[in-house]
Amino acid sequence: MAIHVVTGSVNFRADVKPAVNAPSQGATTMDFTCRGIHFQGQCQITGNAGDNPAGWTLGLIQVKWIDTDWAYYRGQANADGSSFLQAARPPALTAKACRDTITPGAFLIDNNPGVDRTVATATSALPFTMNAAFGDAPSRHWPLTRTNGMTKKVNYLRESQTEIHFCTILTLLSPPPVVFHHLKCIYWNVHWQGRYLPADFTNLALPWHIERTGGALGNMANVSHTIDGTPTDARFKDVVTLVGAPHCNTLIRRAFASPNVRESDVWHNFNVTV
Amino acid sequence: MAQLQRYCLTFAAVLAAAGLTGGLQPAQTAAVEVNLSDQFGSFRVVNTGPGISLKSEVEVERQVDGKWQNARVSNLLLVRSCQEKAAQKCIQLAARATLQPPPWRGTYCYSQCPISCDLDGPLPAGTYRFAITSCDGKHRFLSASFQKKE
Repeated sequence: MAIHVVTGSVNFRADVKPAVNAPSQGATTMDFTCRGIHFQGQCQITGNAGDNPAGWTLGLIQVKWIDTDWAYYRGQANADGSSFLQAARPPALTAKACRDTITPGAFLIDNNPGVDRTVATATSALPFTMNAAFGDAPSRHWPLTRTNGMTKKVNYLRESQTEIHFCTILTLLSPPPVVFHHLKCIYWNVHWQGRYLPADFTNLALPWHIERTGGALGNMANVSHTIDGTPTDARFKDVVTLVGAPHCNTLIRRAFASPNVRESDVWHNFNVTV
Repeated sequence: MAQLQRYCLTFAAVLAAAGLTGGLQPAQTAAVEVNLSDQFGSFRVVNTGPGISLKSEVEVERQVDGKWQNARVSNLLLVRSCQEKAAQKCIQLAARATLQPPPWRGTYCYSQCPISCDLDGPLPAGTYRFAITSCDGKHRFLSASFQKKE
């Protein structure tokens, strides 16, 4: 038998669970940060005498498959108007599912050099234990104010919602021609939702009133149990190993730089689903 | 946040093609210092030469096995403050001008000013330096190396 995974040797868990921080007011932005998640994966490969394990790689793939990111801005008075910024719909966000790496185009998580993967060599004695670990702390930042193009008045961040859902996969790669063997996966997410109001419209540096909204689901971080095998969800399974898959950090940076904007010359109730 | 191991040294990488203009006057040499300061990740860009156009993106390099590698930090820019609007690809730095951008936070993506990120995290402990490049790509200016702890 060729190189293969030792039965029962695969372990994958989130050894640090994420937790969202309360929205915090920065100099020019409302900041949505979290205590990050941390993953630890392990497996053992073995083979017969004479098998060469060189190039077998244990690593991690992360895909983002749900993104909700909108913000509502409102002037101090009704006649100052209101604005709705949508960063999770086209054309602002050009792809829903994306692969999450530091280097665009990469397959494996690459933010923990020396630790985020193990690559076997010709001298790796079989059975060979392989480890892969990394952490992630996604964040969002909405400007505190924007100028309403219709009224030319300042609109202030009034409400926002973010929901980011990921699937992280422990995967074993064969040497070229590369074959991915997805061993286990974990779903996780972070949510922020809130309502905001300057304490003093003439001094925005003073602490704003911040109210966390959305009930139990509005502000939370969750981690699934560990699931065996490859993810099958049609919403993102094709992105997992797609060559040239959309790059999450690039997409979200562009989406926040150029969100879809709707404006009104009064305090309007916008439909947040579009 | 990583701690700073401070180096008081300042290091100016002075690179310029030697030459003459008009056959008589020596060309002014591009000379930009990238000086580290007390706070971790903080640096100051000082133009001791003629006015120069610099790429806004600051590269962070990490020393691995004695060689410098691009550490793949993004969103670290030559801006005076986070209040500045979208940075241009290049910025002009006049002769004798100084620029002190907001410091590097030691992370990959939310590396300086607030920016939304999906994958992020701190870079590993190690030896790092900043690299700034002229907009025409002909000159590269390096800071002294500095230590990043876990």
